[in-house]
Amino acid sequence: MGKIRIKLLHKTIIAIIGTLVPILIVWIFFVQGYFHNELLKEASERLSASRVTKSKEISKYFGDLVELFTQETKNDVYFGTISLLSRPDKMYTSEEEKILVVARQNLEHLSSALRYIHHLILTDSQGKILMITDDHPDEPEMRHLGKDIDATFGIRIFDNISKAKSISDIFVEKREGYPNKYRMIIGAPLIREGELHGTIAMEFHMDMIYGILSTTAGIGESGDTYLVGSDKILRSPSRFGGEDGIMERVIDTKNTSHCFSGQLFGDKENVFQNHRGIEVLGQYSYIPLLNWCLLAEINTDEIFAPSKNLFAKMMRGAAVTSFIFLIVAFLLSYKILRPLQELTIQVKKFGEGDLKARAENNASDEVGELAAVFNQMAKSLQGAREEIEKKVEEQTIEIRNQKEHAEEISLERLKFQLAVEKASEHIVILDKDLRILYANDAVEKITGYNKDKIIGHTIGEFWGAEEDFQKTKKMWEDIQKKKKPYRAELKNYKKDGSQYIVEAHISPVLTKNKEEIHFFVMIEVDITNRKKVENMKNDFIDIVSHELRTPMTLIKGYASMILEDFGKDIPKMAKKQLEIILRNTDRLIFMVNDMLDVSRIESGNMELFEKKEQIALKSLIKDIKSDFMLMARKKNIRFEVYLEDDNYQTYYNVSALKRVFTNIIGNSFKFVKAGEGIIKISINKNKTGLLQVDITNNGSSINMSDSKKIFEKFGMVESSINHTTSSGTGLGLTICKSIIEHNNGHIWLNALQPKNGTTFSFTIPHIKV
Amino acid sequence: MTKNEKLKVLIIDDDQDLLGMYKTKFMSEGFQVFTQTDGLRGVTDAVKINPDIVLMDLMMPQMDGFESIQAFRQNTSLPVKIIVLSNLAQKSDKEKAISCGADGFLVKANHTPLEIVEKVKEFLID
Repeated sequence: MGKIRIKLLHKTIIAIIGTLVPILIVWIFFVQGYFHNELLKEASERLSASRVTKSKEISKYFGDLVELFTQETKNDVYFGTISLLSRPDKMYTSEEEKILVVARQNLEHLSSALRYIHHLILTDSQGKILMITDDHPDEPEMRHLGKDIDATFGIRIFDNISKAKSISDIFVEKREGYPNKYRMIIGAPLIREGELHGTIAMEFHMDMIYGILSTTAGIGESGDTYLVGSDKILRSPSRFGGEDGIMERVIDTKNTSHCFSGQLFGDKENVFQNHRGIEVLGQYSYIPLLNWCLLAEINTDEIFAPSKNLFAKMMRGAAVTSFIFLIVAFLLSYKILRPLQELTIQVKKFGEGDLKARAENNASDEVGELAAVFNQMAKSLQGAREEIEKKVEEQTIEIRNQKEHAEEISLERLKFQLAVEKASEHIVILDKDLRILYANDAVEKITGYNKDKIIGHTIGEFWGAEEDFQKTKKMWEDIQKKKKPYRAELKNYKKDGSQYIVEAHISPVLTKNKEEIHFFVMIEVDITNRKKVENMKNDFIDIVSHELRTPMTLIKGYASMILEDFGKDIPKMAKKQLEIILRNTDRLIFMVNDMLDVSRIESGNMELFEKKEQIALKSLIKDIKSDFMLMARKKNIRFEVYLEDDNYQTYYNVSALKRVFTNIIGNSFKFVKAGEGIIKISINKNKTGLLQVDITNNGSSINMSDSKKIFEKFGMVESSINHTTSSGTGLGLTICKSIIEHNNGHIWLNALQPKNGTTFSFTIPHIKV
Repeated sequence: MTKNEKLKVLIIDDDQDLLGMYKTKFMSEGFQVFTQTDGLRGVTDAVKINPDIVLMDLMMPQMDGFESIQAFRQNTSLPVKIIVLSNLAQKSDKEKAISCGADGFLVKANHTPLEIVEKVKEFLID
């Protein structure tokens, strides 16, 4: 429950730290850096002022000292005194006494003129003390007289003094038993006309250097100033070490080396570690008179103390600010997050499936608004979810049912698919533009073309015959126009060029509204072999009929010629018998003709079915009527024609249609009685839109049980009347039936009441003009 | 053609009996009749004789009627009328014969010799 809050709090803190702290640090460092520089500059100035003052004071003091000293070395009184005091007898004249007093007075005077002097000493050329001033009451002068100066001071200085040009180096000497252990000694040779007569030396204590160096003005708490000889050995007491290390400690710092080499400090180079190991800001002054250096140093700690304080203060301030910030951030986030947390719990609950979860926040702020929106959303989701669940449940049941059903269907489909794919007939599906959409296995097997590679092409590019292109084109146009199944015999070519003949069944599959062709199914059956057999049969029949006709022609010819040429000469009986021969020969000839036709019709390749044309029925009937006119007159039979509409037209092979009329009418003539027969032809449009032709005769009726048999081969019905006149071949009606049925029509027989005659009816197409 | 001159008919048929029958009838009807039993010789004769009409059978050995008519028509421009007289009765046969150059087509079995003479006369008048 607290996780979210903590996460947000973390983010808040990170944000604060991430922005505030870097700014603070950068700012603090910037400020500190600035202060450092300022402080260093200021300290340098102060240090410089102090150093310059002190070095000037020291220089002045020693300068004065050297000057006085130098003057004294030229005073005659010291030369006289030396020679007097070097005399062994010690007996002096008053004049001589006077000289000695003056000499002493001079020394005393000098001693008082210069501060901090302990002794002024006069020696002979051997370094033996001849005269000494003593400012110390407890120290009798006599103690030192006649003694060697080196032994007295415990230090080898005489050599140095006597050989100096004008004045010796300043020696610093340690003397036990004195309040100020360290003294300084300086001396000068007394030389006249190139000969050393003696020396004058001075011992003075360090107080005067203390006096100068101990002034702390400008150098603060930690500042220090001290003197170093050219041997880098400490010469003066230091503020911190007192007199420790004088003449002992080597001060080998940057300050020393820079001073003696005369090198100037570069930027910030004057901050370094001094001999005490403390980081200091250092400066130097070279004192030429002494060949010493005055070193001045201040601890950087002290210099930067103000900035350190400031830094600490700033850090403290920053910490306090951050802390306050955190507290405020915590409080604020808690205040904001609490409702959010509440909302989160509800959203989570909702997310986990509790659709009844709702937030209880009525605040008017954004969170309140969010809560309201959530509630609204939750409500609608709950509703939607419930509805969906209901639907899903319903659909699941439906899908399950469908799935079961689909499995059955897919099995059925597979069967169909396999049936088409493996069929021995050559099956293709073409789109409405005659492009191949599908071809089964037999296509590849029969034509030799790869069934997949031909997809998208037209059959004309492959097995569709080129020489029959126009015919094929017309055929397709016909199918596309009529949108009805079509059967045709086509010549095809295999990939290897060989020809084969197929019976093609083309079925246009229409779209739902039945106005457009969706695709075509084209099934082709290879009938090449059947065709060969049929052709052989046809050829055989052709030859047989031809060969039969020749003898019959001769019989017929000679019989007729006998009658024509010798008719008058032969007996009546013989003449009658010849006529019978002639008539039956004709009958035989017709029979042969009809047989030939029947065989051709049955093979489906009869010329009678081709070359159809538009026929006006009125003129056709007129022709037929005129053909029968002679016979009708001869038998005195009435011929009646009724045409419902004179403009009726049909689409047929003219010869075939004439044959039908001729056969039926010819047949009718055989049944009607001469003199009272009536043959009536009527043509009407029937309910199915076809033209129905009824040919009625009033001759003897046919038994209805024979009405079907009559259309079969040699199924001629015995007429009850006039056997002799029924001279049909027994094939005429069979031919009629074949023709009519090949043109999608029907032919049938209606026997009227006994002796009231018979009606032959058939249907033919009606063409609208 | 004068009154005294007889019409010349050349009958070509491989069947001697039929030839004899038609020859008898045509002669009795006043024609000068020539006969030949095969197509090739028939064509040669036709060129020599230059008849008014040729009656041509179709099914014959060596050169059949169709080829004979074609050969004759291709080799000469003589205005001889050729009528096919055959026992082939198919429409396709008729069409083929006409396309080869025949002027008419008669089926033997359908007509008596007299009827054929009549038909020939009709042709010649046309």
